[in-house]
Amino acid sequence: MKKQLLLLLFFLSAVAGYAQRTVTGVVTSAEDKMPVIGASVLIKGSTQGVMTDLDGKYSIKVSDNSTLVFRFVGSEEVQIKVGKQSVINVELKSSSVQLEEVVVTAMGVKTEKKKLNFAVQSLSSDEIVAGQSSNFVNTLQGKVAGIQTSSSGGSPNSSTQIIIRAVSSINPSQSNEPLFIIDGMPMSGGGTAAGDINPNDIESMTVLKGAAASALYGQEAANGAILITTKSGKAGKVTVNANASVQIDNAVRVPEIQQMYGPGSQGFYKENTTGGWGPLLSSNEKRYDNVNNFLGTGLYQKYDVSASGGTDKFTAYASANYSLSDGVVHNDYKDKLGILLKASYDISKYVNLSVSSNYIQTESRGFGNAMSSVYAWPINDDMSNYKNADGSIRWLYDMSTLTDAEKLDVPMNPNWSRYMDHSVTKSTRNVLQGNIDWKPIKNLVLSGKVSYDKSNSSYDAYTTPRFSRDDFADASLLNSNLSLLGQYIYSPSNSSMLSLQGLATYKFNLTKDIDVNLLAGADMKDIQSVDANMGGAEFLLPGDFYSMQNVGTITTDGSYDYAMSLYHTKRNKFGYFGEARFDYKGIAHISATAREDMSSTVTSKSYFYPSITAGLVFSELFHISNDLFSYGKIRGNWAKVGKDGPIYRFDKNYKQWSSFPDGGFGVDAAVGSSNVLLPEMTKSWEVGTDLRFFKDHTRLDLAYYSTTVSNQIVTVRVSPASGMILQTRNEGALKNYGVEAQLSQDIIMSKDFKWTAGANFSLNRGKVVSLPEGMTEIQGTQYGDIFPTAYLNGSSTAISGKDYKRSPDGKVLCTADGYPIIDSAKGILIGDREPDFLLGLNSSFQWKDFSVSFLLDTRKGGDVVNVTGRSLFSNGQHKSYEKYRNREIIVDGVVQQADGTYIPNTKPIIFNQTNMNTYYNAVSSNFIEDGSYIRLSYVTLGYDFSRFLKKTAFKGLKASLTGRNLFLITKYSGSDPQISGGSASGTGSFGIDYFAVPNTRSFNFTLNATF
Amino acid sequence: MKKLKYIALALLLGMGVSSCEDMLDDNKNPDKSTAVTPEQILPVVVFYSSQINYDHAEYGTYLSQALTTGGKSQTGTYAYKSGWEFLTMNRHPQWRRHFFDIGTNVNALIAAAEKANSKNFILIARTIRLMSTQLTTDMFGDMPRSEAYASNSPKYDSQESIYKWMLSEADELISLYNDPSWTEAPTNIKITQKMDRIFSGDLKKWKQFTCALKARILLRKLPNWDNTPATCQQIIDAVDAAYTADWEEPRYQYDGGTGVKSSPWGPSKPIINAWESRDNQLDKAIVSKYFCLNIMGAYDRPGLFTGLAEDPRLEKMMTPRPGPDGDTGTKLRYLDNNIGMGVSYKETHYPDLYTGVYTKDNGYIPLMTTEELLLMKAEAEYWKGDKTTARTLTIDAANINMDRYGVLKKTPRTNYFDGKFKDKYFPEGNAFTIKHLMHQKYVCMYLQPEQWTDLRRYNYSNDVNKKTYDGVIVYPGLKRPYNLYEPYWCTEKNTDGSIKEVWIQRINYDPETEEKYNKAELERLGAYKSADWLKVPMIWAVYSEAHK
Repeated sequence: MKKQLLLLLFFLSAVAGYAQRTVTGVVTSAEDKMPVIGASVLIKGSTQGVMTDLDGKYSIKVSDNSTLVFRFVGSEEVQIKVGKQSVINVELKSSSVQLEEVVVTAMGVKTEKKKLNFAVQSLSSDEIVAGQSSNFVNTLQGKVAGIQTSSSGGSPNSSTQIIIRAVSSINPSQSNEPLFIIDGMPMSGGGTAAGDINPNDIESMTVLKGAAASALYGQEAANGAILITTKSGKAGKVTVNANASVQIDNAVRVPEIQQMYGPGSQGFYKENTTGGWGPLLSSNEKRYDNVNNFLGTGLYQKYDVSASGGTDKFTAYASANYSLSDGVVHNDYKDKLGILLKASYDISKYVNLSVSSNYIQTESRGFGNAMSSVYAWPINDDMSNYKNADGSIRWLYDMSTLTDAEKLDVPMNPNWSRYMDHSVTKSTRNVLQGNIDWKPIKNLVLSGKVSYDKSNSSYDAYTTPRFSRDDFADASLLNSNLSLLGQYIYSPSNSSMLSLQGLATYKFNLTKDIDVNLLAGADMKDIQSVDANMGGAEFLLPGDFYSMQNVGTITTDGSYDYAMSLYHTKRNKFGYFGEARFDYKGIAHISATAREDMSSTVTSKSYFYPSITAGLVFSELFHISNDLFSYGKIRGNWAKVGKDGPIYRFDKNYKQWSSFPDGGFGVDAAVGSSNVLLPEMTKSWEVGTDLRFFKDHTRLDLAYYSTTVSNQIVTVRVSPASGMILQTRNEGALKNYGVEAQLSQDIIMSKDFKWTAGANFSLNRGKVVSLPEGMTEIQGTQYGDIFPTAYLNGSSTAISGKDYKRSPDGKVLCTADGYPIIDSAKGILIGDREPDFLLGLNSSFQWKDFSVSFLLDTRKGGDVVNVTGRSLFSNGQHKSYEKYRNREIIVDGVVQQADGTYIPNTKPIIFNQTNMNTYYNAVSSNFIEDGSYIRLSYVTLGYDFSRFLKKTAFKGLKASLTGRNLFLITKYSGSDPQISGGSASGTGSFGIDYFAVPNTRSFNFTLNATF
Repeated sequence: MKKLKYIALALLLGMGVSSCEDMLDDNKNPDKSTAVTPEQILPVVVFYSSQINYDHAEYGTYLSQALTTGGKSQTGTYAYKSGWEFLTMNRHPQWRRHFFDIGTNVNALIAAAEKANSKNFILIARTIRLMSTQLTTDMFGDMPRSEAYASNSPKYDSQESIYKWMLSEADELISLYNDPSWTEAPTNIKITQKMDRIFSGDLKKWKQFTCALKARILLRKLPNWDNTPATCQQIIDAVDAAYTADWEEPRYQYDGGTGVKSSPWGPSKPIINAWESRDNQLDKAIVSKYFCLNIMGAYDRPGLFTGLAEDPRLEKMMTPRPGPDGDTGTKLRYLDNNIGMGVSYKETHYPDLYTGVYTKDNGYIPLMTTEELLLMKAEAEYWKGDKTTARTLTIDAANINMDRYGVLKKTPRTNYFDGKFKDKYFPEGNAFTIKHLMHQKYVCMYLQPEQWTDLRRYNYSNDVNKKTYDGVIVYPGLKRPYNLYEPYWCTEKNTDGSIKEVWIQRINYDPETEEKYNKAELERLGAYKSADWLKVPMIWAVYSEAHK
């Protein structure tokens, strides 16, 4: 109810006007006398203003002593005192120098980009929505140099990882994602959570890449920060904007299944098996395309509407959006409703109050990384036929031939789970923000901000019974598998983050030529969460009464999904910070920051870190600007940023073992206890240059950075002889260094035809520079015998596993019989997921009302672990078996001679199940593939109908057609090399293809209308 | 000026609010206890005492060639069931069970008991730790002990020094069990059956078990290490101290039920957690040809009165099942180890192994069987020279074992002891050799950790390696599994070019933790990523020519 009232208040306020005199006029271009659409007309010294319409006309309420300021991108600003005039027509001349880009930087301070001494990159609202992805974070790679994104597959519920520059923490429980800041206040979560923000609500986005840029924010920003400024109300008439999008998605590059062999073993039919190791199917035996039958067409729809308006004292913005995203897998969906309300009120000349509320509600059911059973389903069985006529499960195996124990292992038809089981995750998130600015004296601003980010989520699910007790001769076998008799789970959780910030900024002229900006502040955060799980197993009453009121067993034994549990977490921290910036005639800039953070998760409880930056506009210092070379700046910075540790690590905890025969409490092995924990410390330096040529039409920004993160906080599996299973500790240091380049070019800028292009290039090299106690590697989550691994003096994103024995030049060693020799050691370096470089190329053309834009996203190098492909080889389903199975093949290797020399292997071996599994599938290096790719990330064709609608209620109408992921050129044999297996923590899981839903190709049609 | 005052006040307030360190939360988990009582932690330690026996036996039964699987792969998730490719295998439950589940909890139990001044808990905790130490060192050899829990990379103690410690710990414990100031201390908290499912806190019985453990530790000196009459006498004394009239076998009896309330050997195959336990998978296991034919004397054609095998226990341990087309009929099928089954066969054509006395959800895990106790004494008597007593004790043990399995005291049991098989299994006089004794122990130790230990103690003595003890081959018919992982096990050749018969003597240290945090120690031992380490015998298994 409160929200509804607030909404009403915003709208009422927005349309209310003040009784003042109205001035009207037309703004035209001095060059061609055509109306200028969208020029801003502002009353000087206030926030009140309007935009010109399709005819270049404006109307604004003013008082006689007002001065109007007319601005348009690429034009010189014009100021006219109103006096007694009631009509003021203005001609705007093109400016020879483009308006200097203003970016929002740390603590929400707006600064001209040329005054900053570190790498930042901004995106406008148009650039953010370009590509029309349901999650805008997914499309940032290629748009911003140094950003690497990966998704866990083609599902609407896939998680999104975003990493700026490189992995900084090797600990699987420490995040590597940047901090997202919305309207000056931090929000919780990484790329996946940020993806819930409606991109149409974003006014601009700034990416702070290095530690110096984000040092003021403290520890969470040690991985960089992404500052999002949402749209605000504009003074003037209420403007309404409406969008509608429809998109279809289809899975592409779906792993192909062989179409020749049935299930079995060694080429023989064997009842009750999956996969394709059985005999050749006869030509008239029906084959089923189970994989493609399982994957359908996804449909995404999104509708949003926003309204903006206000007076000189009060402005408001409100938007609502609703999207439905149905994935290519049945019942894999995500529906989302978002409402953003913002208002700003000048209480007095000195005080401004602004508030906002962003409400996001989602409802979803995921599919996860569960494609393995689909790929293994035998081709001579129709997987879509999952139910018998009487409604019971149609099992793949003949249950009458199976023992009790074998029944437990019968594969479940994924369609049954999709259609007959139920689960829904509902979550709501509300981010409330308030900000008060007080300008007690000239140039001093005192600000107080509060932000409350509250999320509630619930998971409500049941699985239908797979069996009844009567299906088992000895039902006691079910004792550890009661969920097969049905289970119900309900998991509510909530989390909140309260952030408070006090900030003072003051600027003054130290001398005539030196401007000084000072900033000081303090902030604190309080983060809490509660997670509960309740459930039970075995539905007692038959029928479809799937309820908690029908379960026979409940337990607190955490090894069962349905176990009862309740956990709380709470952490708070606070810090002080300050910054001083000096500007000498706009030519030289120096700044320094300092911050002290307090946290009880590190032993010292507090830690301090500073940063300094310097920049010089040498083109102005040496007066070397000319038509060819218009601007040049060099910059450098050095910074430290500390990061605290995970909570609750300083105590030995006891866990209740209610599952044990006599219960009791034992030492909790799952807690990575710690003795001493120092803050993880990032030290970085960076040099860069900003060069512009041809009257700023060519703009090049280059940066070189080096970052070392020492005292890495890791939770690792230590020797049980230490008394612990997991331990949280400081281990070693990680170094990243790399280059970023951004090039943007105005190719043609005539009135009717505009053509711009840009390129974003980045490369990074990550290296582990130290580890304690003679350790040589740290491993992440394992995928079979493959581990993401960080090696001492080697890559931080390496992959380790098994390999063949090799000759000095890397050839596989074979026996005299032609069999490859497998190296007995494990944990051998077999790949590196770090790309050689990333390159994004974008361009946009505009000819009159027609526009085209595209983004080419390329990656050179970066290995991918194809776990999915490996399973196809092991279960006999790989497409290559059609050609090679049971044929003789010659292993591409060498045979060592008695004299130590090597000769090429010439002896063939049979490509059969035994040899495949023993000599190929058992060797993980066979499944490491080059992840280089060139992707046409999107192409958008747009047409602006506005000029046809002059006499209608429409102020504008645009239509666009976008194709995403139109082509992908890669040697990678799986669906998509830009993939992650899960989290963005630690050595990470990017580059792990683990049974994800294949990526999709999309076609999107969007209509945008302004009223 | 007035404004400046307000500004100063606002800034002070802003700073003041956040300048107090007391605002930091206490970083304590509200959902986890940080203290425990002896009453609450003892049941956990006692439970793990049964689990560690299972963990060792589960590996051992495959390594001692009693069971195998239908596959024949050289590599696999479970190296002990396939080609002994151990170096890629991590998280052996035995290591964790000893150092953490038992070790860390015993440390916490002792600390809690000391705080409560309840010494009875300390005695039981130390006894269980002693048993766990013995099991663990017998599987891994050298391992941390004196420096364990002191750092992340404790030095490894030599196996010899661990044995020395175990003997002194056993003696000290026995003397403390005899000390009323420990056993009868007024501050002792009463231990109930709910806390100690094995003996309900009966310290007399725990003392007997400690004596039995001492005997087992001393037994390692036979036959290679220190096979002297004095050692034999020590073993006999220790067994006698344990095996008094009121001896009760230490058993952890499971009730059956959800999860680990069932026995780990039961058909519901419970595990504590997937990452720390291995389920029994007896439904996928197949009895070996060696166990069936060579040990149990399975018949080609079972008779109505003769049963399945010469040894009537076999049909109590497993139940034959029907075969596939082409080999129909319910009969006892078995396989050579790791030879793989034919394509038309599946595990269900081989005997059901869930019919034995241990393999039930409500079965029990003995920390030591009575048979083992008697056979230890028998072995000591044998090497001391008293074959007659050795034979008598062997027969006694076998009878107890027959009773355990519920074999009726009539034919074919009578045939086995006194009838036509008497000379085969229990010949009298000098015809009774160590072979007969260890043969019987092999049967009695089915699904017990000692089975593999015995095999190693007698150096897998078989027809191929010709390692004899007292002039006989102890395990005739025993042979290495097929399809052993070639790079480890098929590289060493005999002079005639044939592949040398190398057997596995130990399992690897965990690559995930020990190789990382104790690399220097592993390198010192020669165990770092080394398959050769698996071939190094335990100090008690170095083949002694003296007793050839």
